Amino acid sequence: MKTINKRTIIRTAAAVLLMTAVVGCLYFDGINQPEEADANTVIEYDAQLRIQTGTEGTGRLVFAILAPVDWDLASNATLTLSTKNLTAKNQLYLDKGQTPPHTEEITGEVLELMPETEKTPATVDNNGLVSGLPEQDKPWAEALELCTEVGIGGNEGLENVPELKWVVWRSKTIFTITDDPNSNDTDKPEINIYATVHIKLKTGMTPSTFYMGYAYTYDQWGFVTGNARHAVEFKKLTVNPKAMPPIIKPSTFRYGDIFAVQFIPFMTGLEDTQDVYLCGKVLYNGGQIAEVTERSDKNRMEYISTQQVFERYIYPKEFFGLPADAVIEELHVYFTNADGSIVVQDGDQGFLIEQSAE
Amino acid sequence: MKQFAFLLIAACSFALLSGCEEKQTLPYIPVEEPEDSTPATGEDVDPLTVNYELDKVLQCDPVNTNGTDITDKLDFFATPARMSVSISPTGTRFTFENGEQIPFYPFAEEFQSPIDCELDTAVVPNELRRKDTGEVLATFENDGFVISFHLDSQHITYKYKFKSVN
Repeated sequence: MKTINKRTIIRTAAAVLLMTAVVGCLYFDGINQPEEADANTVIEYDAQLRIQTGTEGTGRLVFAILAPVDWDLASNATLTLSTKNLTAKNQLYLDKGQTPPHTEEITGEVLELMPETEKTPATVDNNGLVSGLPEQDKPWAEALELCTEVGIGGNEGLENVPELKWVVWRSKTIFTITDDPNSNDTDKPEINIYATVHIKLKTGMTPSTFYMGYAYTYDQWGFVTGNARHAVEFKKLTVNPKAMPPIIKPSTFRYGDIFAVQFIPFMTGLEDTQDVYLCGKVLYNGGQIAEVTERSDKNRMEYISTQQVFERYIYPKEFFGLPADAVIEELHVYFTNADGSIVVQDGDQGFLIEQSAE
Repeated sequence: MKQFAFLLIAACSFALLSGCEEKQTLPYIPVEEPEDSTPATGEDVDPLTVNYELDKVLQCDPVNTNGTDITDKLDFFATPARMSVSISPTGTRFTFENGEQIPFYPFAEEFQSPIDCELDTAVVPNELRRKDTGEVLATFENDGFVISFHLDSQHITYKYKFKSVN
């Protein structure tokens, strides 16, 4: 009978730790996606990637985003990749008379959409061949859903979640990430490789709350359950309704004129409201402020059914109660319902109404 | 234009031939029928005064040259502006009274008293001009007097259209 001594235990523990290190080698260090965004709006943010030394693998970076189908991210998103520390190990290669796999950092490489014909690898070698999993040998977007460690995250069971799908990109650059001549040298400090994926996308028209999904791996591996050479993260996003900016008639006007402010309630919190009120704020005479915040007949808007807009003509000096000789410098408006519980505006200031030059 | 020429002739006839019993027919300024007790030649006569009240406010811009009627869009037009034209043997006088709640004035200066003016029928539309400065106070278009003015943008013209209230 084999005796389990202290040395064996240490060796086993070291092997387990090494395996854990190899398995858990790709990370998200952070994704600064906003928690809220307006509908039909372009948002930009970064995903910070970290590839741990000791990971062995070569291939293109595969990056995927889970988002509502109607956002059509394939057409409405641009992802660019930049690396840091990719060349940090070069001296190690040179010291051993080897050619480093990467001689310069990647800057602003635009990721390309993964071709629909491309499939995840059917077999991977993870200290033994792994094959036959549902997510293997599948189109990439489908594989992401089938991988139990990815799927659709917290959206499972969430109410009123829009239909979601993974959209997958890949790099043009083929990375040799892990061929570190010192990877088994415990005396050498660990050198991580970092990458930033800059994400620019346009949100859809429909207000909703759900979890955006982010995942990455490399194309010679794939998203394989139980073999986490991938990273995945979900971040909650609330898409708020966004009103179209008001229409001003006539289109050429100055603050000292009479003009109509038209509000399009479509896809806003005031869409089903009968009584809509025009409120706002002016800066005048060197920064003095006058506001209309109450809701009365004075600022109640008329619904023009033929145009499906609410309209209110104003003479700003009279509307805001300014002296006849006041000079208005800035004018902001917003729209609200009778009890003020619903407000449609652009930012904290309301919609800026800009006058013509003359 | 012919109408205004006729008006002037009629007004002069009224002054000069005040004893005449022939009925005067004026096209757009109603004229009170002369009383039988008309003054003798050389005495002062009451001027012929026609009063007008704001009927419509049009907002015209380069895209919409015919104008949009904004009369009912703003509450302050509910107290209408008024104007009058008085014609006497000594001349024509124009008075203007802004609506009580209207927060702007269509002329560069406020008129505290009647303004001596003259009607230029040689131009189309006929122009009612200040006698001293030649400033056009109003025009006579189609069926009534029109006061045109700007507020802030020179691309937007506001037109007060008046109707007779005599």
